[in-house]
Amino acid sequence: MAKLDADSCDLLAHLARLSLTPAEREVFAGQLTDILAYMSKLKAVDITDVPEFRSPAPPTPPRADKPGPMLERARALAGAAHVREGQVAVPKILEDA
Amino acid sequence: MTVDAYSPVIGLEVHCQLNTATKMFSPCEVALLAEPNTAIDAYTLGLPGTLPVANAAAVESAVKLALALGCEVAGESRWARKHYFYPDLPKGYQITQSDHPYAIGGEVLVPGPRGREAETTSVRLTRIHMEEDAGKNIHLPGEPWSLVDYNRAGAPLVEIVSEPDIRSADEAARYLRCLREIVRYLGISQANMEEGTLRCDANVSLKQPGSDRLGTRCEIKNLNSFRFLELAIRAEIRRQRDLLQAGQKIVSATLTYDVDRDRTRVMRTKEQAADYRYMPEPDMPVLVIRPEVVARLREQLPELPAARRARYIALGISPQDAAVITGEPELSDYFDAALASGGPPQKICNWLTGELLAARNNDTRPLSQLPFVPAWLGQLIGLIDDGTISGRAAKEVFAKSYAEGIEPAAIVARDGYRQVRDTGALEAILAEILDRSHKQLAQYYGGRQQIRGYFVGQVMKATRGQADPKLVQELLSKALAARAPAAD
Repeated sequence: MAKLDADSCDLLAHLARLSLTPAEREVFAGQLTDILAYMSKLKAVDITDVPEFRSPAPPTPPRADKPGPMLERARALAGAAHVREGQVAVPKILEDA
Repeated sequence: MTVDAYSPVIGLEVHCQLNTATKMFSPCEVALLAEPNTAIDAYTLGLPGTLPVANAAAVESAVKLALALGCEVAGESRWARKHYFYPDLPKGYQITQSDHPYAIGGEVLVPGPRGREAETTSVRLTRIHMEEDAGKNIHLPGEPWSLVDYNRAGAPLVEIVSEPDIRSADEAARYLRCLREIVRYLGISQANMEEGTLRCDANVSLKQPGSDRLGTRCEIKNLNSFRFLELAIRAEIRRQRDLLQAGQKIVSATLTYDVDRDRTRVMRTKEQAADYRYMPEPDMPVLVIRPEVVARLREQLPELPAARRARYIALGISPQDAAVITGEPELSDYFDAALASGGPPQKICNWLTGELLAARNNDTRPLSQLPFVPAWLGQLIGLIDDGTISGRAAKEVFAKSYAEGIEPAAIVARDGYRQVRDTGALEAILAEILDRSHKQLAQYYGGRQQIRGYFVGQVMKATRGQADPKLVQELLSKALAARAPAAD
């Protein structure tokens, strides 16, 4: 199987919000190629007559619409790097057009 | 090739937030107006160790919607993870339904434009699915920060996806209004665009003349008012038409509507990432909706706006008035209650859509809490019809009754609005007026017919406007004839 090309590797890295050095890209492209090769092996198996796997556990009953405990704001936001006016402050999201 | 040769093909994706007490997958309260980040729990923040459990009330609301729209409700449907990294999505994925939604097909019958409401068009639905909402980002102009409030994260949503059956911006708005009406009648959502409990994305493409193939479609995101929906679609139709006329190709894109420039422009945000890496949600079992539950919910469906409109039209109400009345469930309920306590439907309709709606313009109370109860409309109309009060007096009686919460009949008795129809009394008043009106009588008999108005006016003045004008005219004719100078 052909090795995952650099563009696909970059796209996947972008979707995972990772920035890769050229050396890292080489390493991950190799690993992903191995994983894809394994997947295509699995895909090759004929499962036409195999019934779909269903968990033997019964479905979880739905929950009644009753409020439960909530988190106190100060505690909930304690782990955020930046908080302003009770909100989590993150680097600006919208790029200017 | 003429400009009109391209025909627009439009489909809408409508998100509607269900008005449950708690979120879709956790018992955290849904409190949109609460202080930022005060309606959150461990699940909302995607903290380790939390697991989703579906909210029964949200599922039932969603099923009601499917039944109202004629969808097929799947006995088993599945949850999926949709991945993207964005600050408003703490888990890094949204639980939604992808390949196996709970509702398939369905249809919305959209009334025609104002004045042509009876000309309905059909917009077919592809599907409806359930999902959880993301948090809310607040963008601060000119600052390097965005602020995130997670109160909305995890709130239950249904997404209603239409087929590309819509042909104009105006029809798109009517479709959305129709959907909003239906969810409000079902009582499952506030469905308020300004507050974000009803949101809409529009897919727009242009069909080339003589072609059956749909053109490349572009998606306009986050349209948060009916007006913007229409303006954005028109702007996008213009943009695509201009490109095609210039011989260029339409490139599939996600767009935003720039209201200041009245044009659509390509967004450069997460929605460009087509790869959401959907996968079956491992933390959620199959969603089972049993036939007996579906049957019970079907029993609970209220009479929907289209059925109400048809019923009103059958009573002789114009389609236009019927559309106004069914525009909000409360108004329609009020009308039904007024009808139930008796009175001619068209007259009740006139008072409801005229005086009552006008009075309510300056009133924030819901109709159901008005001291002016529906039965009083019939009473007021009865007082006019049996000649007790004049139409003019009725408006004053209504205003007082509305303001004071006292029934019309009591206002009429208290403030002396009863129309004077006592022939003897009116004859006496008339005689007195004529006796002192020598000049006017001379003019009348001299051929000036319009002087009659003067006499009527004098009678009305003497009776403080309460004389029955028709009766006054009758008596005046008799009196004038009786006093006519003998012909030589």
